[in-house]
Amino acid sequence: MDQAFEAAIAFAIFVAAFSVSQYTAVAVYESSMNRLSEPRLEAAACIVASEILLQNGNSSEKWSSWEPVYETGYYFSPASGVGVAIRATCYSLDPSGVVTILWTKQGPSQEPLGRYAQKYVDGVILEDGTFVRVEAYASDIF
Amino acid sequence: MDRSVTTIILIASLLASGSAFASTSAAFWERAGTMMAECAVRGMAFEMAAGAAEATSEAVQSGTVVKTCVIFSEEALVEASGASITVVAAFNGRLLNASVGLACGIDLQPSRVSSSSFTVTAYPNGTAIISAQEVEGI
Repeated sequence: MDQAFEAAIAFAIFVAAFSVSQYTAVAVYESSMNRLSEPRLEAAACIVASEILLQNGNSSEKWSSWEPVYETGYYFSPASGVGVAIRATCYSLDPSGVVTILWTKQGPSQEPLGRYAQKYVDGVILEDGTFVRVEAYASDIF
Repeated sequence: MDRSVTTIILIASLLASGSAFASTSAAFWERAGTMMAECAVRGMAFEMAAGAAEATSEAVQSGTVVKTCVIFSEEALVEASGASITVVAAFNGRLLNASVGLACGIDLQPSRVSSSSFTVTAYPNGTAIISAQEVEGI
């Protein structure tokens, strides 16, 4: 086998091994960062849902006039780098057992913040017997 | 050019690029480690704030005292006052801190607790206090 061919094979092996090691290192780093981010984002979503429930309580009047606020700084600080989405749904249960959706308020998008968003769900029974389910989503925004 | 000179130049350039890559890589991983530690402390502050917000919300809605536990894998110092929570934790010999401020309706009693397990006690009037978790009798 001639020397140039040997050199080419050696170089190809080196490049392959180097690429695999770099790809593995970056994948490990990304997975570690995601593992660290998930509890923080879930906590952020929990703070948003809890504060919304705290503001409106079980008052039907407050919930009907309430409009979701999507500025993260409205709920916690420092807020930079985190985006939130909110969906609140009010359900009514008829005596016959039929569940009816009375209203839904949501935003800022139908598909809240992509697949890395963390979700927190809470709910409250209102004074008129209806039930409000609040879903809050939090995600890192770049 | 002589073949041996070419070989020497080749080896020298390989060593130079190898050491440049090693130093860049070391700097990157050092920065990455710091970022991960900062992210972990920020996460702890958010978890503590979420525990306080969740407990207070439940206490106000139910009209009863609500207790919730927040457990960290590392020991940390938690300082709370008003609507602000600060967590200080040591990672790789470095002390890092992170703060989270809650925006509305929650009043945290001043406290300064060092532990890895915390209890948030929330009252129906919207106040909450953070304390070290009491260990149940064995």
